[in-house]
Amino acid sequence: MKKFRIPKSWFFLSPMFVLVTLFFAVPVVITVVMSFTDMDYSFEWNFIGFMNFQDMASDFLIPKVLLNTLVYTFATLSLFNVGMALLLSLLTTSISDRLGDFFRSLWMLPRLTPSVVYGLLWLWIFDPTKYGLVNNIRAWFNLPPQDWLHQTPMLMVILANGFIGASMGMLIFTAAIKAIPIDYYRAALIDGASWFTITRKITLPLIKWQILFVTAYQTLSLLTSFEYILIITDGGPIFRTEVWALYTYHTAFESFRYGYGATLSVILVLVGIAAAFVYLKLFGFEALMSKPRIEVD
Amino acid sequence: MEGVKKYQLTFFQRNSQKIAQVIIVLILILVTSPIILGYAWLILRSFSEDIVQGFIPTKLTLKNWRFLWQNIEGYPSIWKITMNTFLLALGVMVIEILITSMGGYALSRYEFPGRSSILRLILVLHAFPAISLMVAIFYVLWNLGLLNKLWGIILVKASLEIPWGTWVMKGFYDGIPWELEWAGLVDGYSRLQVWRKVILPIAKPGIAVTGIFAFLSGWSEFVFVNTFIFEQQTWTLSKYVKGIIGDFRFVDYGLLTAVGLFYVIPTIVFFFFVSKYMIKLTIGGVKG
Amino acid sequence: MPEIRVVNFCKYFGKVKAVDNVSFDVKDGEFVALLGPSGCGKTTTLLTLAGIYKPTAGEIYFGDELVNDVPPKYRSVGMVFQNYALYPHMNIFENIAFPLRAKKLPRDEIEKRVKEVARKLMIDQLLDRRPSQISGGQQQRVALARALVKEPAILLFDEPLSNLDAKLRMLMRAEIKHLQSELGITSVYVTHDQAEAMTMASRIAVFSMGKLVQYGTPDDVYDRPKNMFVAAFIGNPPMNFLEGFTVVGDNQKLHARRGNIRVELPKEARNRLENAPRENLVLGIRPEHIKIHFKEKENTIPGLVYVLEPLGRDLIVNVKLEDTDEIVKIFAEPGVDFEEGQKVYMEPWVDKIHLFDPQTEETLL
Repeated sequence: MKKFRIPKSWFFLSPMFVLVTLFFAVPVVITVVMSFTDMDYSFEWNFIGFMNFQDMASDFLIPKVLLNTLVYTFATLSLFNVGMALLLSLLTTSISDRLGDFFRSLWMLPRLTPSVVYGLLWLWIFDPTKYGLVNNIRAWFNLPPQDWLHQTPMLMVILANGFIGASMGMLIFTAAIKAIPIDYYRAALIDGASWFTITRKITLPLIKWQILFVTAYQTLSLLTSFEYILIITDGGPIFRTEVWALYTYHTAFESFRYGYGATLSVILVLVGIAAAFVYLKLFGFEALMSKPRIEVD
Repeated sequence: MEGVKKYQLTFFQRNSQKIAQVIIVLILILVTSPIILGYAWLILRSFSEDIVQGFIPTKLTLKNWRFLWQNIEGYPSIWKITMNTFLLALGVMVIEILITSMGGYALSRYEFPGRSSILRLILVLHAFPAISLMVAIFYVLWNLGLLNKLWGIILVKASLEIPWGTWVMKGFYDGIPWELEWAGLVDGYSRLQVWRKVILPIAKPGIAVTGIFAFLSGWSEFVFVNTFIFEQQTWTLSKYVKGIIGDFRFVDYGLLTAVGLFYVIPTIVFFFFVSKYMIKLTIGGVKG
Repeated sequence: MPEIRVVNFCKYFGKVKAVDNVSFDVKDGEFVALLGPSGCGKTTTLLTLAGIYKPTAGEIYFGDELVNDVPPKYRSVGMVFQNYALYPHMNIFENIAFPLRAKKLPRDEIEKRVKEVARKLMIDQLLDRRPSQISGGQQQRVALARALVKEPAILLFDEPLSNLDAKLRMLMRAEIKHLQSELGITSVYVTHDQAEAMTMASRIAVFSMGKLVQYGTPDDVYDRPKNMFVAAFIGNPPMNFLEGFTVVGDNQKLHARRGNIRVELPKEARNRLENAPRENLVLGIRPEHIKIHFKEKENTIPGLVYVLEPLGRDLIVNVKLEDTDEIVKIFAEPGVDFEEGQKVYMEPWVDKIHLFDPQTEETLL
């Protein structure tokens, strides 16, 4: 009889399993269960059925938060995470590699900078006094300083997130553009096509798959992001930049209503799971999963 | 056609490519200007007494850096905080390297039931909004007695980075030729030994990349520290800087920028290495 | 149709001299091949003719006009690429129509011209398909159609046949040659396959390491190679080289000698070798220019049959020289049987013998 041995692969995977279970799997379950309680800082499991979901339906802030979330997500996505990303990748691949790399590196900088420092930069750019960058430029035209935080808080939030969000799409599109055989471009140049024609007729159709991927992926990550909003406006003034994820955070960690916070999270978790399934369906990852070529353990 | 100059072109036709290049660079400078100006301001402002036209320094000074040798009122010593931040970053890095260099290897090189499901799961987790689990993670940490402890942040942060890191490490292992591993086995080593003696040394660049990213992400962490740490003594730089911004925003931009710049130093040190790598990297799950 | 003149053309990429001081011309309607191993600068030269690259130094003329700075779209060139460069997201019709759309020709004109060229190349039944749905040979024809549809003044080919299998390659070779002479378009054809260059081109430019080594008709480069590189590169199997020969002479004839071996040289050798070095030369002789004897004979080189390579129609006999272990390849006359280890005597054709100076690699004879 063959003795059962623990496969070596388990040994390699076990640390990963422990942490993934502890901080992904268990929390998903807890979130769902907690959403049926009115847990507060005393951490008592007091089940209240669907009360939280009823509360959510009648919460007067929810419509505002939903609208904010939609505006924020789709504006950032279209203007920056896809739009600016496309512009950057198209432009930086049209100049010399060294110069292109230089500009792409600059766009990586915000992503790598600690969020509080990055937030500080935007606080300066939109500073309400004459020391802020925008107000300083206005001063050249003899315009008085404006209080941007109260005038256009959503714009601040979109810009701040956009300058970070554009870099992922930029990298993916750039890689895709560089993978297009150079002879396509040479042929098109010889055939007399202009930069715009080449972009529209050759480049964009050939990277449409990546555009779709980035759009899908970034929609989800924007829907659930709140870190920079927390730092820059903290949802204010008066909830004008309060998005769903941030509202969840505030509910749980400022009002200490963990149960209701979990309920709001469940919505995000559901959106996340649904999106994950859509990805798997859309982007069948089979090609990435080549079989190992050793059969010894 | 005789006598007609077919290739006689105007200045613009002849130099169309050069002109296009110049226009492209100008557009790029324009759209990148908030980044360029923002960082220029951060650096210049931190060394100057006052500033005109947004970011042109008037008088150089080191006064803004006083927090290095004297405590800011109401705040703990910067060095204590920096040490906390460093420990957090180091912890995330070590755990991350340990887990992903093992997990990535298993996923790249072993065939076992459920392998492709795990690969899928990792991609899903990579896309999954882990931040939405914060309430539950708070509860888990409370149960483990890890609230208000750096260890708690380290474990949470490392876990959230696992999908990405594993995927990157798997990519590096995938790039190592099978022949090397075959040769090691034929030469009489077990797979564990081959992994340690042959594969790990070759995968060093991958480990370095994963490690540096893990370090920087631990170094920069804000939300978890802000939420799961309550005592000043356990703060990290993100919380410290956030506090300074809150208290001194309209009073002392010099201090703000100096503290901020101090905080970004490791990022800047690793930036050139990291950005070069990231520019080449295609994030997992993209069909070629 | 313009003639092409390339004058002292150089192209450097940083410090790398991809093409170094190359000059040649292509006559109106001529078919010229640029031949050489990979990395020799031939494709760089072709892309410069297309206007994709600009010369670092030197001039490119189309007719009387300097075109160094003229962008590709104004050059009126058609180009066929090695991997065809067919746009995968467009169907065949759109691929062929692409250059005409760039010119903003009217719709019916485009349709007419695409169909015309498609018919000529026998791909008119494929116009609705995508490039991935047709065979390599058909893709080749589509690429050719796209190059021809705009009625270019100059046609450029970048190793267009290297991705086809051997049989199809022979077929397309003849077809491209026929098409070119029928249309009379000035053509430049880059290849590393000497058979393609020899069969298709009226003149061949042999490149090596960024330099133009020899420019001449196929017969020129084959029979009168300028140096050892050309001699070795052209011909399959390549020319045999034997080292260490000395030229000796009596009143009547000159001979090349090494130890006991003595080979007769042709009459013109006396003039040609007058000022040349006489010691330590390389003797070159093509495989088809050696006659094999089984009995000892004057002016022959003895050796043992080493291995036989039957090719069906031909038989290549490898003979190993006893003193130096050099291998000589010979096309044997049909109908003669050989055995391995058999002693043979090789007699080179007197007027086909070459001598090279191993120092400069230049041809002496």
